[in-house]
Amino acid sequence: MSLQSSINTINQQSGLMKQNLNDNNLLQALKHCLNFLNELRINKLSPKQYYEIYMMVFDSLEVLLNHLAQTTQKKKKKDTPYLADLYELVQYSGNIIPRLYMMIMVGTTYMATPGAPTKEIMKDMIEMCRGVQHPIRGLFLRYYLSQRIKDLLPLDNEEDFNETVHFLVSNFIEMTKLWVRLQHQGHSSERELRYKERKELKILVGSNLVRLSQIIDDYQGGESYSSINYYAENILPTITEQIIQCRDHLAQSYLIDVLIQIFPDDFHFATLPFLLNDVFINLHPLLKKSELVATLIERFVNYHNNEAEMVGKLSLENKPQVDLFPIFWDFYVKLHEMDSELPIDEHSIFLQSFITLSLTYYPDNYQNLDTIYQFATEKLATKESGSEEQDLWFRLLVAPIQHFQSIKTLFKLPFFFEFYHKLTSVQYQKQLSLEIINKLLSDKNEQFSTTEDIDGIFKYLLVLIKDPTEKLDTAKNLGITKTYKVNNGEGIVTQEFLSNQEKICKVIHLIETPTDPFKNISNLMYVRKKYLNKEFKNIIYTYPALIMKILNKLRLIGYYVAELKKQGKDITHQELLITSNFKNLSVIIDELYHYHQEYHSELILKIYLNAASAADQLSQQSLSYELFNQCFVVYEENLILNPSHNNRQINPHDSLGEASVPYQSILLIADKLYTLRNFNKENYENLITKLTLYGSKLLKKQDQCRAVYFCAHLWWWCAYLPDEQDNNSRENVDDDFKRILECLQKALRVADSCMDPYLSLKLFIEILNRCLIFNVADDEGNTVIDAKYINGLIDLIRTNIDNLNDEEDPARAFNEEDENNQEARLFRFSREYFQRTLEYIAEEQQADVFEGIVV
Amino acid sequence: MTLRKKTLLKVIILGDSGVGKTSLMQQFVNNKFLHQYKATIGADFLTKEITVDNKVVTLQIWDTAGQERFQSLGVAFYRGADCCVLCYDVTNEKSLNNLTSWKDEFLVQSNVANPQDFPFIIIGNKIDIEESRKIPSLSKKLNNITNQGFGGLNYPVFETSAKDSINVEAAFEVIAKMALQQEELNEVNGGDVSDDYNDAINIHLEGNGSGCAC
Repeated sequence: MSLQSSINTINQQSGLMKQNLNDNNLLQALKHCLNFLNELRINKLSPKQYYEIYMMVFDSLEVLLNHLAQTTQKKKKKDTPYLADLYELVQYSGNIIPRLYMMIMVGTTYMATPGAPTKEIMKDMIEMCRGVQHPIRGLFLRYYLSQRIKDLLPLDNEEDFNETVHFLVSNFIEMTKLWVRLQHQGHSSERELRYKERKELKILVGSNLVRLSQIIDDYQGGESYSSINYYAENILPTITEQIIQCRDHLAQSYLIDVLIQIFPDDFHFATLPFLLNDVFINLHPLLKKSELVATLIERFVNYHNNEAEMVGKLSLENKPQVDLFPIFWDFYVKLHEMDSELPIDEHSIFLQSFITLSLTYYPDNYQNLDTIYQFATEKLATKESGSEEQDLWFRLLVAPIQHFQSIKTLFKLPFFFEFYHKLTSVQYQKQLSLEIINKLLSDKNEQFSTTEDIDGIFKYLLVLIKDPTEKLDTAKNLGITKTYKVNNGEGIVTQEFLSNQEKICKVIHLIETPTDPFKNISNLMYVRKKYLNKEFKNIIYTYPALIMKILNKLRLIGYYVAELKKQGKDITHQELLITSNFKNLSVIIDELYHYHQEYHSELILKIYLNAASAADQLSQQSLSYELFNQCFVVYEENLILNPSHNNRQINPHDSLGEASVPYQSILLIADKLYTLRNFNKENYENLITKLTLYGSKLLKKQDQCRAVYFCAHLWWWCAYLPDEQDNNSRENVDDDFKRILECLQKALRVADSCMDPYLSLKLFIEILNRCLIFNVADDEGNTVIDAKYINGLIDLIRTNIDNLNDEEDPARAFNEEDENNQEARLFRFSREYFQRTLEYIAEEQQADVFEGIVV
Repeated sequence: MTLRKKTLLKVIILGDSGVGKTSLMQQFVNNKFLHQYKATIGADFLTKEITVDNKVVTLQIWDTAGQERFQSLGVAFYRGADCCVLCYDVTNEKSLNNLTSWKDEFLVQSNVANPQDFPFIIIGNKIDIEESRKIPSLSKKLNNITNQGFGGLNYPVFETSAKDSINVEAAFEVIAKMALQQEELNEVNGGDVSDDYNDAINIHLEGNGSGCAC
């Protein structure tokens, strides 16, 4: 018989029943009712299908029941025992299933009438239900009983209450038995199917616990009654005894789950030790107790969070004062002792839950967390661990990080680090370190001011600093990981690597001791010595940040010391400290240079220059001098002929950008030299002589010429520096001015020797512009470059232009408009440039400057 | 003398776990509110008699488990519903977004005769919770959902607090009216349900030994 034919029958019979009821023909209606109830005897339906016809039957029974209730009300006065008779009558039907449904239907209707022998009917019904031992049918029958009776249960006094509880508990026990027994029916090959059916049926059994929970809510009790105590003493032990005794995996896990969900939180608080130590411990050995514990803890955590919301709105009169963590922990340790073979994923769920519990209930108690990690380190992570374990360990470690107020919480958890060490997989170590660093950087006010702090955090970052990633698997990473070429294409790093290094740099900037800059610097040095230099390959990404940070601090010290000096205080000690710090700093830069000169000498040159200029600002002349010398070393060793920069676009006509590396380097150095203020003349002269020499030896004519005329400026400044004897005499100044002239002469010579007449012309005009700067007169009316010299230069340029004009002439007719004609264009630019220069001179002459120059 | 048949209206409350379905029903039927959360296991109903349009009706209100693991037997109880209440939590955007899927699931499983104009009503619960925690631009999002998921039909929307008993009574009044209309419509259209099956003559009526003899 199929589901559909049952449905048809029920529809048909229930329709007939309704007609009969309309005709007030009760007996006939009952007959049709029995007919559709017969469908519930069907065997071959799955629980879901059975539930479907059960619902149809239920709906139809409701109709009959409403009719009965209404007729009873009408008849009340004349014919009281009407329902009692009916209760007897329906028991004469032949089959037990229809009979009992009928009986329950009539019985519960009867119970609802005033003066009915409620308790007798209850007892009778629950006894009669024993007659059905077929699991599915029995379960639904008892479910019907509990569904019908739920609003009729007597709760008026203690005795009523006890009996009601007894009624529900015994129904629960019987249903559990039926449910468990179903597993053992049929052929053993159908075990899976039975298990599936039982899973579907579980809510029927669970509904009993729902009722129990409801009546506990509903019962008002006397003075001495406490629902929690009643639950703890009467209900919980009986139910759990039953659950334990059934020794059934599914039943235990489901019913405990329901028990946790359906009873209020404060009940669980009060009975927690019992639940854990007397119930959970005794459950089926293969049952995953971790999941039950996790559910329970989740409830407690939700409760706590809701509680936090309600504060202020609700009186927290009986807020449970239970110290949860130790109870859970003792249980866990006991469980571990009993069953040392507990699977690792169970441990993981346990510990995960405990971490959440501790973070929620004990946000300031780090001992709990440390206990957890200690246990994990000593008891769990002892054996070789595979990737699965690694994953679990990782998740345990990562769990609390986002919850910490500050990342420094980690410093209070020594075993966190121990356990971290058990992560043998570099991948996981890195991932965790990233979690830590991200959390750390998300906090705006985090600072690390002691070496303990630094150790505390950098020990987790070491793995990122070293970055021991194996060679990139190009096939694997193709298109997945974005990569960059470094070291002129000889190395490849991932974007991820670069962003990690950047994060480390950000942490370096958090090393701050605002009150003591010397201490701050020594902390920075400490980081370098203990952590950053662990992988020389990567220092190029972190050292620049470190060095800049140190320089910054040194500058601050400089201001501070200058202030002290102004106040007339003794600063010998500070000066010594500054000197030694600069020496240490230079060691760091040297190290960087040593390992990365091949590809990063330009960057390192800039770092040396910065350090040198800072040293000058702090009146550390000899240190600054040495640092400049170091710059020359870098220049000579790596920049004069730097093969790695051959691919750079060079335009000889451009005096600023797009020039060669050596020329750029000369300009960089000249720029810093020009800002020096605390040098004596001798040292300064040494440096600029050397630089001018380098400039004059550059490979290309245009580079030579420009470098030299730029260096001329250095000599002008030199003229005003005090020499050893502090003797700033007129002769010396004249000497230096002579050097300027020499430089410009040299530049002119080089420009003249250029093979390209257009470039030559351009350089002449550039030199003319330089000369104009040096034409500015000093107080005594002396000028470095006089008008006569400049007039000569202007004539020279004019002659050159005329010569080029003559050459150009025949072709000009065709090329005037042709922008692609390189030479014509350059020539035009130069003429325009010259024109602008002359206009400038003329303009300035209105203000009595540039006297004597003939435009 | 013939008894005037009392009308039984079946109402189903659906919605995500924790939006307050049980609380709404408890507040309406028993005027009770429990502060502690209890999951609903399976499906259960409460009944309440009320008067709608001068007619006494019995509301059979089915509260359902929002969590799937507590709904293992399926949803056969949807059958014969006269009105469906879709609940969301005004502080939980996900529960709002899930309304459409609850509605679709209901229509698929309940097999109602007129899915196009079956009466649904939407209830946003927990308005007692402070403003700041509510879903931002709620009414706009709600509009989007009713326009897209509900074909732009104007379903009644109520904002309630089961905790402070705000709007609960009013919402259920509308529910009852809508359910009554649907019920009357069914009476007119279907009349006796068994008419549909008139041709299915049951030949197994007596004594076919398919059930066990117990």
